[in-house]
Amino acid sequence: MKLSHFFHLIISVLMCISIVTAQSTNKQASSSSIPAHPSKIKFQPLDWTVPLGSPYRTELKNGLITYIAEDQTLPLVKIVLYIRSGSLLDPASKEGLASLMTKLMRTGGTSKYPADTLNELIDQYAMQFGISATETQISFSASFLSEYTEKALDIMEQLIFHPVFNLKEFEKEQKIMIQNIQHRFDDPAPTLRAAYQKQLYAGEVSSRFATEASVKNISREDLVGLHKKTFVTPKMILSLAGNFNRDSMLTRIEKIFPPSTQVPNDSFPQIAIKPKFKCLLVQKPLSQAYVRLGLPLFKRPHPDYYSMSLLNEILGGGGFISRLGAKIRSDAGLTYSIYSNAESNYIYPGTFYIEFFTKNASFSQAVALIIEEVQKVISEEVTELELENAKASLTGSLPSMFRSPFDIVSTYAWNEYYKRDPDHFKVYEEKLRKVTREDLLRVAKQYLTPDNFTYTVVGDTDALLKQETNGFSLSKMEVKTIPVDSIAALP
Amino acid sequence: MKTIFSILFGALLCSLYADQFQIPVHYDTLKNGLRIIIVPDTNVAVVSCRLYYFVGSMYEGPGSSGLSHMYEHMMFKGTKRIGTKSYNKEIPLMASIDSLADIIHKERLKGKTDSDSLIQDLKSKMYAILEKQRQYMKKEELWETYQNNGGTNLNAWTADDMTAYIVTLPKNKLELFYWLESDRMKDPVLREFYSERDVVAEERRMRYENRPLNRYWERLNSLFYVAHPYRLPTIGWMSDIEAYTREKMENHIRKFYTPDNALIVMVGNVDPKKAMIDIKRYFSSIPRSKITKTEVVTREPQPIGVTRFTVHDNVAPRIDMMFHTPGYPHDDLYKIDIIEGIFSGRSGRLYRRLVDKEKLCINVGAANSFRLHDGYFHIWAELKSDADPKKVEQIILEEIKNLSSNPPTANEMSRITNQIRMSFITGLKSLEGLSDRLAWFERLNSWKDLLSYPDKIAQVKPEEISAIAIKYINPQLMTIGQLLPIKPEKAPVDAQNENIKKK
Repeated sequence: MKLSHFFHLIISVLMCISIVTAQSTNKQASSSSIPAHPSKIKFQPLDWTVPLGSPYRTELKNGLITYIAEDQTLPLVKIVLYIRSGSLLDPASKEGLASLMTKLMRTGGTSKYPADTLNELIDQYAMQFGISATETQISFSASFLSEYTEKALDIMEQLIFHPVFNLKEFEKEQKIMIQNIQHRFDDPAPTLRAAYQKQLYAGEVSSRFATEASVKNISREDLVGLHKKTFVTPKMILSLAGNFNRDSMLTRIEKIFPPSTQVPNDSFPQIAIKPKFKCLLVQKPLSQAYVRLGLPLFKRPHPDYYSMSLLNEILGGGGFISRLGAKIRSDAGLTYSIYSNAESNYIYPGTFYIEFFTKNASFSQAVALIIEEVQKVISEEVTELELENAKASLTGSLPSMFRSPFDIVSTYAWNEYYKRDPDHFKVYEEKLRKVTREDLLRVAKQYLTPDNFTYTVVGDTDALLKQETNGFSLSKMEVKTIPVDSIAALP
Repeated sequence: MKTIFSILFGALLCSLYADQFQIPVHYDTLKNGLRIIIVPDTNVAVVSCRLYYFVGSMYEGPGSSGLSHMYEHMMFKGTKRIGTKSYNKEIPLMASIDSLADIIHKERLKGKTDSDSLIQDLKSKMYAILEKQRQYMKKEELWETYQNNGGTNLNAWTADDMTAYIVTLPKNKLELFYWLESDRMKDPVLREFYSERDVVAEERRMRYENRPLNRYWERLNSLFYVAHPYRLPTIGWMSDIEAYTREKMENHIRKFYTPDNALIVMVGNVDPKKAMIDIKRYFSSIPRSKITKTEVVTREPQPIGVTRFTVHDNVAPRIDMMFHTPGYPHDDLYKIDIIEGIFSGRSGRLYRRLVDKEKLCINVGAANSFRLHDGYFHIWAELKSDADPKKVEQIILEEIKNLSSNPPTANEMSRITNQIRMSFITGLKSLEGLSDRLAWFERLNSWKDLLSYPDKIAQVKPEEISAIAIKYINPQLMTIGQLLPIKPEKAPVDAQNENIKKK
């Protein structure tokens, strides 16, 4: 970390320091009172429980679901608004539409403020506004000093409901987006992620991404049309916390969001996992191979999710202490990073994957070791200690997750956006506790059959194709080899 | 021993801001030199616990670059009590591994590489002994202990002048931090050293060999600093990494990883009095270093001209201009921060000119970096694909020149002041962020500088800026890097028509 990176953050406030010399708490240290091992330390129970979302939830007269909390600790206000939409809904041949629209909402001016004036105002009052689109969500965020609340809410209303998508700004952002597309595969990691989507979801909307042609095909009118049908109050869930009076803020918020009789179209397209090739090998001249082994999983909520989540923690999700971390990184020194992920996806079926990179010469050795580890979890139960540790690791992070009032309201807004139970976090620990070693073995056998793995690899074709270790070799399977600039052309 | 308890009253005495908030900072130093900063915050149920050592790549040299980073990795390998079932049985095995590593090192110096059968044979023997040693080890016990007790943000990082070991714990688990950190300060064991060396080599390949922008930046930095060890990459050069030995590492540890060169920062739901009792119980018996820490005396000489560096790679085009600035502390640094503010942001002078008006760039900005010895001011521009780099460079130079005759306006000063304030307050929201900021200023001079910084900025007069620009942002002495794309040689291939290889 460079000092400059956070020096911008440190920055200032005129503060005056009152220094008081206090009594030193110096007491004779006694090393004899130190436990022989950390396991011998007696910890006090943690007097903390998972906060519920319901005390913060309200539905306004205009229909807006709002999670709101006062927080007077600092002169700040933070807001996140979730809007039910996302790039999965981009029309065919106009991929990139949601992304371009959100970009222009921030930069393209509003009915009250031309683009220049808007930038100046936002900078002048040091406000932070962000609008972005993922596959399954559009989100708007704001952060500002509470003394500028009225100005910030005025700008927020303008950005959300009155963008004008200035034509010059549109053309500028369109060109920037095209340039970013031209360079999105400069680094291997994003290249691997894109190729993996193509590999696992061939022909599905989740494997589409913006291309130069699709972005050029987007008109300003497309943005206006998408905005009009997307930014309607019934599609939104708001969360905010900060230095304000709750009732006054709710009154003000109610005025910003117009009531609407429109019934939101809530549905995203149906998506299935359709692996296309046994191995998709993307040619890129690199000194390392970037690899994902992947196979189909399921859409949440699903009765096997918690078992799968714990199995993942033990196999590769738990960092250094996971089996893959210990074996491939720590024991063999073959990689700096290896992990597995049982994707948690509420909109369409997710996948299970193992991702790592290693120098070209050790590619097949690393894959062979990974397959060995997968074979172990499908052939014998994990240990009781492993399961208990995995449960402790997953539940132990909850106090860190709910630190501030903003953490609580934004987490529960997100929870409702994905239609999870309101008491999801309250029962989370209990659901994990009920999972047994037998459950893990069952889901391992059901989902992690090594023969079902597909391989997505970015690297030097010549260096990788001929290797063989313990029977694993790319040369023994169907391999689709493509140059890096052809990824987008795959279905 | 001196304990200072400071209550920082925002705006109680300062009329410029109407905010009312307090930051209680508890500062203490043990007899062995260990410094402690504690900031209690009872609104949360967790505590950011961080142990900083004031060492990094600036204390390294030819043959040892990256050692601090390597030790960042090794600190997770355990101690005489953690990560082992029987430390005594591990000792002779580690010695045997060292002997083989020494032979491999000597063979490599003669020109042998990893593909030579002799080296492969020796490495196989080394790994076979390591497997024996693993019978006596408890793999990843340190990491597991933190993680199973609710530790989050568990990690470590290395910079040029600091290394940090970090974890955020539930408020009832703080003793774990004292136990584990005092133990690895006292009795670290360099087990699995050579396999971890391979891990670091993989990290370097990932960060620098296969990422064009990082690769370019690493070289540009080494050109900018001619003499000062800031020129060394924090991760180390590959040839140095491959030549690390346990002995070399142990010498490094003895010099730098002692209480008199360390700082604990805790921010969160912690009682300073209770914490100090525990910290003394765990850390006060650890002795100071017996070796005098060698301070870096090298200072960057005044440049004698422009250094120009051009790289063609598969990347979006960009330009970086770098200028030398004084080490910390220095009053001129605050004035250079104002210049950063003038040039940065969407309403900054560079963005308005190069992105909005001339339409040559997609983004542009500036950054002023405070450093212990020789800092730098950095202007960067991400160019449109069809933009002429010479023209962009020329316009930036015009804007630099313009600064010498057009000092900041009242609007610009007000914008910069507001942004500084917003960033400061936002920074207080994060326990971990506040920990790092307090530590960085303690490293540079004193944690109190974090809080006097706003006063220093407020004292800057707009009319002072032009002279500062002329003095430091001097195009005749800059280092300029250009990262330009390679022109494509052929059109993209249609993936549908590619052959499928099946054997």
